[in-house]
Amino acid sequence: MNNGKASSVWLYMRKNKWLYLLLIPGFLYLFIFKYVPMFGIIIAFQDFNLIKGITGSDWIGFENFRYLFQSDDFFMILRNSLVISFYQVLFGFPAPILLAILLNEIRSLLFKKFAQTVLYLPHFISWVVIAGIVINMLSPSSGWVNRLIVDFGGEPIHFLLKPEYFRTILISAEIWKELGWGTIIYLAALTTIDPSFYEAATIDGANRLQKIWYISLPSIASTIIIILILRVGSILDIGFEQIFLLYNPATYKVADVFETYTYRVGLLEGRLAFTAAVGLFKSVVGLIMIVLANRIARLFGKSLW
Amino acid sequence: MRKRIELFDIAVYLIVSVICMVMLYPLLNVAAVSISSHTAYMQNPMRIWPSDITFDAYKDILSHPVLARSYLNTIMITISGVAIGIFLYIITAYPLSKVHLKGRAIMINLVIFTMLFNGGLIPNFYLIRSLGMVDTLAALVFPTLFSAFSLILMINFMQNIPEELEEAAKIDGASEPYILFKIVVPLSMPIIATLTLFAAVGYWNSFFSAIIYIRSVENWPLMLFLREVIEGAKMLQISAGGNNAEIGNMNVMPETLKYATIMIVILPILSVYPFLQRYFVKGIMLGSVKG
Amino acid sequence: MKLKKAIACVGAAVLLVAVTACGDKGGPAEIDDPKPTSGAAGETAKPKVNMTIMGEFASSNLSETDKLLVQSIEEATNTAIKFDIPPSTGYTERLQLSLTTGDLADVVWFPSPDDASFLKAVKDGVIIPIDEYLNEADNIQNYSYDISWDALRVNGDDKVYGIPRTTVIRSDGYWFRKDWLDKLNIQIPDNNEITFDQMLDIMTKFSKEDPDGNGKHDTYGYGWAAQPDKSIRPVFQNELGLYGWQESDGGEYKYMNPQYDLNSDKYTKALELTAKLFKEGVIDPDGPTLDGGKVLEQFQSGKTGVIDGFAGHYETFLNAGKQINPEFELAYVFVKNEQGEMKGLGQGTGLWGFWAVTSSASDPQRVVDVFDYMLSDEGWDSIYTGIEGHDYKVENNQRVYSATPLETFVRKNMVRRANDFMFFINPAMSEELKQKLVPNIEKAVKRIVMSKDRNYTPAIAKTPPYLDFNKKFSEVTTKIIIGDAQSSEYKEVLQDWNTKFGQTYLKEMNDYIDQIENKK
Repeated sequence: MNNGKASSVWLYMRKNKWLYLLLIPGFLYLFIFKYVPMFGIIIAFQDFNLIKGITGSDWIGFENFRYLFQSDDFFMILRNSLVISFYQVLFGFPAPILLAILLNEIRSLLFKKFAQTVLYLPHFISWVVIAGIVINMLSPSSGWVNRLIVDFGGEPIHFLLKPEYFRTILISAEIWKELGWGTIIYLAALTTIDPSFYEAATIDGANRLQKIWYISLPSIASTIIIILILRVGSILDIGFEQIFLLYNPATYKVADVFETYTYRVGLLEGRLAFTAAVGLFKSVVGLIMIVLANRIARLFGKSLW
Repeated sequence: MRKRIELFDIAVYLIVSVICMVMLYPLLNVAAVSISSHTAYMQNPMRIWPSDITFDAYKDILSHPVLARSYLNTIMITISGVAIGIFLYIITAYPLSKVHLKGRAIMINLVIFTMLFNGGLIPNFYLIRSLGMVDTLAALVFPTLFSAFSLILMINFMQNIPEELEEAAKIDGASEPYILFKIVVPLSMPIIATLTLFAAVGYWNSFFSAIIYIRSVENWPLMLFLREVIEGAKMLQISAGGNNAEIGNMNVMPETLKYATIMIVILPILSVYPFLQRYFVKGIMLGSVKG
Repeated sequence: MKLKKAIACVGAAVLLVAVTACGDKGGPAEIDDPKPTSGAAGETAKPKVNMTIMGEFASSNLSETDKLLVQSIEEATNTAIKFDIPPSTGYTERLQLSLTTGDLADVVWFPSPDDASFLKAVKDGVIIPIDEYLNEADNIQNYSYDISWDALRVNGDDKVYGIPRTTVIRSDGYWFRKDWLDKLNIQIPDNNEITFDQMLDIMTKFSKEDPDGNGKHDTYGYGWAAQPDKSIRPVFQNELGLYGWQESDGGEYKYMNPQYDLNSDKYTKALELTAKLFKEGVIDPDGPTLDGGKVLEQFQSGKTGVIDGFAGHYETFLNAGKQINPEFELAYVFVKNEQGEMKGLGQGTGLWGFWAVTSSASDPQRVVDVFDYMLSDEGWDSIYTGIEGHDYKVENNQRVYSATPLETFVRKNMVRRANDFMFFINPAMSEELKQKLVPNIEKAVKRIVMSKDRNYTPAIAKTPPYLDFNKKFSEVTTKIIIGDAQSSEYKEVLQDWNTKFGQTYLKEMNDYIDQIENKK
């Protein structure tokens, strides 16, 4: 019986030998470059000592985690990260899909090519420059936004010093920078649609919106869902640079997220083991979220695996 | 009916044009400042038209001794990283796109796991050191060769390729590698183009591995050079504790020079897009399915 | 098909090899030039020692004058010196990585003795004490400030953990737009000293009376910026008598810093004044969102009329300003405090970072010797004036300096001599200009008051809860200044601090200061 099972597995493997052989290099890579360094996670449970190193430092169990969950900042940072992430998904996620669909509706090939090229330009300008432009734009003394406000009889507003504007500014800047770049993956998916579908729909009397709704969107649905699932898995990853460049103590209470926190405690205060603990916490949350998202997606007949 | 369609088109063109104008601004700003005089920049840093045009900034930065070498390094890193990476994506994604493959779920989980968990800076450094890659360009190529995100995208794409095409080839006695490279790869060009773009831009923009793994200036990538130009002076000021006298002894780069450097760094990678663009503009599945 | 694939594979492999090969080429260049240095500096023949110095400099490549200097040091000390200069944008990361992985240079530069990774490295034994090696290092002893040594005794064991990279302690005055002053008919006394009230008056006029005459309200009295940690602090602390840790006027503690004193209003007053000036638009409204580098830009482009700064920068500032506006003129002014005294807080402890000898150093004594040589008359002359033939020529027994060398990345940033403010004056500068600048620099050096804490960090301030709490101070300070909070809220945070950490902190600090003061 056992023997029979083993031989049937063997038969299956032999039949699909190419498929398995092809997997070897990729997984070898993952093992060496991703799994081997993962042993470093254990420093999250250590009182890390520079001389004794990762293998010799004293174990302190969950002390780092206890400190994290007890600290005043933790819940503020968790809340800020979740709220910003939520807005990123709410506004930042659909925006490139909509734009990709709009681009797909453009008939002039020349304009389409031109538009695509222009749209993805801001992605290449580094955050330092983009943030510099945003700061200049919103400057209370010389920025055009405040000049408009003054022209209409208002008082200049210190936008970057007001917590109530921070998320709007951040999310807008992110969309500005990454919108066009985000369309690329959807455009790639849209190219695979068989034009005969659209032709048939036209004959059936469908209008443009109906064609978008019944043909374009469904055909990129699996891409959308997969990217959404992966995005949900990184729910606590906000991005460091843009926040670091735009926040200041006046907006800490809405702007301080895990990245800025670990930057301060890890790099500036040198608490490496604690930083590792924060990272591990983020990873576990990500794992839970991605599994949940995949479960939900499976209900709709789509999933990662 | 006809009128409705025209209105729709006008709306689409209008919206896309407005978005384009907004998106053009940062690059125009950078380009305009890079060919303006420093004085003109100071008068209006937000300009999109150059004034008092001068190419001095370009002359200065092009004569910088590190630029040429770091350019060459980045080109080598990008080309080898993309070539190896895309090859790996293709051969790994293809088997994993077969829903029937035994062990597939576990393997995909193993891939996704690497996206969520990582060992952090120090173990990665130990790894690179034990592989003898410290201060070599290989250290800038390998650690970021393969991303779970991209692999999943490719698996998803290959999964959507009609099964019949492969079946037909199989009946003709074609081997799996033949099917992969002769049928699946040509049909996957849109995703290959996308991931090529992602990987190329990723390599082009990367600098952090270089900070960690590179020791000699001869092995700097371009982006690290750019960061030194843009932020280096600022960092030094921080370390000087705002002590101005110390800064006076260091050469702080004027803004025009920084902007010219940005232009020089991003122009080549911007020019990659038009070559890959045809894969995003027009479908190619059609012909093969019908054929 | 197969051929194509094979080509693809081979292609990738070839590239890979090329990449690795090119990397190898850039490996460390061996400096193995056993040139016998006969009787250099009268030393008995010590064996040649290799050492690596890791530091942060403006360029990761040595300039020509740097190389010549290093060569002269190598010859004089019979060493082979290699520099490891990480990119300045990643120095902190590289430093942390080196300390953690044991991939260490012989001597490493740290930005400050309260740097967290330095303190950890000392605690874990990666950085070694150097007292025994300093015995013969007379030059280092002579040309460092006493307080620098105190600041480097970080481990509670009375041992020194670094060689100071000294900076000349000063308390700088302010740069004024002279052409604006003239336009508004404001006279500055001949001795360049004004009262704080006059200063406030001038700044107000600069922001309200259109000093640039363009008919627009677009100028501001004073240019400032956020700190590197993005917080903002009250301006004009010198003028308001905030000199850090000093003997208190009574109360529970012998030594007190008004910033931490629940019973003093000095600091809250400073906060209130800054908030008021900010609200009235007398100080640059963009300040809180600017980083330090932009302050100069705002001044040169004619947006702000006053900035603080170093007197030696006259030429550079003037030329840059004149390019933008030909009428641009500069005046250098000191402002007296409210009691009419010429006083200013000397920043820091005379350290502009320091050099720490690591446990990997093959011969710590020789490392110290190299730094000692740099501060000797011979070494210092090369550092200050450069190397004959490259930086100057000797004609008729007179040195003729070549045009201003900017690329003194390493040469001028390895060591400094305490109180030697002439260092900031380019040796090629004309006598006329020297006479204009030197008195101002001298004043900035002479007027210093030192804070008695010597940048000491009490043990409690190194604990994680304290470090996390620190954020509350920068938060409340920023909010008060921008008008989002009442100045009384500072006292609330201070009260909270006092209950949680303050008593221990103040006691530890007082004990430390007491002990140091009594030692004198």
